[in-house]
Amino acid sequence: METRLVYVCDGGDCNERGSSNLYHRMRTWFEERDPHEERVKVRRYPCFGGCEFGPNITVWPDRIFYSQVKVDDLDDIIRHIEGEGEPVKRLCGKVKPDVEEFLWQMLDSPY
Amino acid sequence: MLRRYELTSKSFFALVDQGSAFGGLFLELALAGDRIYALDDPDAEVRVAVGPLSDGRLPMSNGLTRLESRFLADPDHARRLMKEQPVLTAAEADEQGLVTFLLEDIDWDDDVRTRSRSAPRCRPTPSPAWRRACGTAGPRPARARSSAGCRPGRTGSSRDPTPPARRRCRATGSLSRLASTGGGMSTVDLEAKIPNNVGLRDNKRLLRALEKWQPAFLDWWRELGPSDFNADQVYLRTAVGVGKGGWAHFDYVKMPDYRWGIFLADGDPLRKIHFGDNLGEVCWQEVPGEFRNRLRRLIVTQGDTEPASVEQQRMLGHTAPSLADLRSLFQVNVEEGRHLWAMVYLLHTYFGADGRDEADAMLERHSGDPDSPRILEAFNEPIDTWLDFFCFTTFTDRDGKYQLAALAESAFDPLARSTQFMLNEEAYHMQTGENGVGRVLHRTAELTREGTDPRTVGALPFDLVQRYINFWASRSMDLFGGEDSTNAAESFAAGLKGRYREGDGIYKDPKALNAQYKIGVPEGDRLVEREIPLRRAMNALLLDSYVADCQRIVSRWNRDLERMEVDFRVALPDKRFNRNQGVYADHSFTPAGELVSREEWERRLAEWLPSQEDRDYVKACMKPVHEPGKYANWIAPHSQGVNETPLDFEYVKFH
Repeated sequence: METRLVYVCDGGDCNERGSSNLYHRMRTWFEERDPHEERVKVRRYPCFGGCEFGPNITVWPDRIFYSQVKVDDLDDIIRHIEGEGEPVKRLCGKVKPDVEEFLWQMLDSPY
Repeated sequence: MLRRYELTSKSFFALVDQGSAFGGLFLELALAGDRIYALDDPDAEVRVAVGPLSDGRLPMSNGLTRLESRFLADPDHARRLMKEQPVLTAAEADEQGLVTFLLEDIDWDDDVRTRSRSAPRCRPTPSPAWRRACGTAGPRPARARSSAGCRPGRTGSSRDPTPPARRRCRATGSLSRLASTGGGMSTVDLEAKIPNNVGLRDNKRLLRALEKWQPAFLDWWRELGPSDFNADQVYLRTAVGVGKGGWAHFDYVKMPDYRWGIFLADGDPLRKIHFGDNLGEVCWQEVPGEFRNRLRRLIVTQGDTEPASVEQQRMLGHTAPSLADLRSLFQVNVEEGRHLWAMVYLLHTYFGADGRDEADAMLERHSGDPDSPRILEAFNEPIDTWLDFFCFTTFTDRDGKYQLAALAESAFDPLARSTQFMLNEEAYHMQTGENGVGRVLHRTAELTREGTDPRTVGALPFDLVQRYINFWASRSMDLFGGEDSTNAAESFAAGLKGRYREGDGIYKDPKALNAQYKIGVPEGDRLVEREIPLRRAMNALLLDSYVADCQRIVSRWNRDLERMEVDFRVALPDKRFNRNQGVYADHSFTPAGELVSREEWERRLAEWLPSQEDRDYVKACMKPVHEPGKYANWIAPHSQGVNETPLDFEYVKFH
């Protein structure tokens, strides 16, 4: 399975809405289960530009952009990342397509 | 034995350092060698004693004593020394001309290594006292050698490989250094004169060197930092740690009392190089000799931008549109000052005397100074209006973000950890710019909706703001350098500078050896697609990431304009527009990226870039508003106060 890259937005708005807490919870979860990051890498990202809908979390290469994530949503998100569930549809499709596209453009680098 | 020692074709150096006393036969041995290096350290004094054995009992092959031979230009001095037979400290021995190089403790390891290694190519410059006393004489005059391109007494050229240093840093050096500078979770020393998490308290040499530099920095701040506000109390964020939230401590402070410190992000002692030719090796905790000059240049170029922007913005406080904006300006300024500290720490710690010279020079160059300008052109542009400031922090500081992000991938671990922490603070600067331009556009949209011409009420029309964006975006794109660059390729190959977020594993080939980068190059009156090896296109790749990021911001501004129901939309100029660097320099393009003739460019220049009339108008709009909660008419208020303060908070208390 390809390594999944999870970005948790670390921008000002997302941070004020608790993205740091989300990051630490996800990071701790995966560090315990996948210490060498063979399956999942969890990283902070400076800002996606979807600030109105923060906190935002993305999953690549699935190209899933979760918005307005709360701590209660983490279980469902983790299940999806672990391959045990579907993408969490209620958290998708909130930001403008160009905000998503900016990120996928970078992550889908041809190089 | 001494005669044979003197006549052999080998070079001998005497090291008069901690725990040694050179007298009698040992002084004769030292004098019979090529150079004498003496340690000048008040905590570890050494002694040089002239005794009876130097009085002709062990003559040289020419029949003279070694002192007579050394002081051929001043025989009385040799006689005086032999008569008085003094016991001297290192500094006194230097004054008496007995020492070739008197080195301070901070210089010792580095200078002895680099100076002795430079012997085959570069004649060193002995101390003035030595030259004064010896004239042209000496037991074994330094052989005349070619020293083209080699400054006296400095490290050799960049082609000078120093494999032993490299071996050391990759083997024993790495873990021990990391342990002392905070590998893993670091300890933050906030009580020290220089707050830090790099164990300065335990590194007396470095501490002394930085404490010497500190007054020069403070003098520079008072002279060229924010003008006339140094006695005021400013509500500032100060770094108190490197963990999440550790840098978010707010309090009132006078800017010269701001606790500029040295903070590195926590490290991983087993971190591996994740790109370039050294892929998979453990990262370096010391500077490999073969990359010394290249790394120093990278650090100096980055470091030079930090004080430069403070100088550029020093008069802005007088025309702040609100107290909250004034606070933001000062926050940006003090943090740029701290970033300078971060780079100076690296120079002092890892580059010896050369590094300290470079650190001093960063306070000697000044933005816009015709005789001693800042290294990069954008940092010599004046920033005398707040529209310039907001554009600068949006676009030029964003270039800084990408350069720092590329350095944060570096195989030289102290640089990577230092720049990672700087990125935390840089985010605030970019947000200041992004929100600032957004608030300017928002205010203009409000007036437009009301049917008010912005120019009639001292606000800034859309087209004028667009010209400023065109100027600062294109000027900032120049900072990425040429799109096709062997320099960038070498930095990537060496592991010094990676691609944006290289460490996240998003690139297919971490060595970047198997792909070509396509770029449209002007030929005559059209663009022709060319392919360049990916490694040589590292600047272009980083620029692409930057442009996408800028486009995201422009889209955000436009979403607000859309919500405000005005027709105007901001556009990011194409990366070919108004370029002075790279393949598009010397060609004329519209902001949309269409190739045009020079004549058309000249004719439409005022449509695309700020004219003198624009600049005069913007300057005329800049009137200070220093009453809490009030804003100038050309900008919308902040949506919220910093650190959850109300908007009418007294962010700056004037003395």
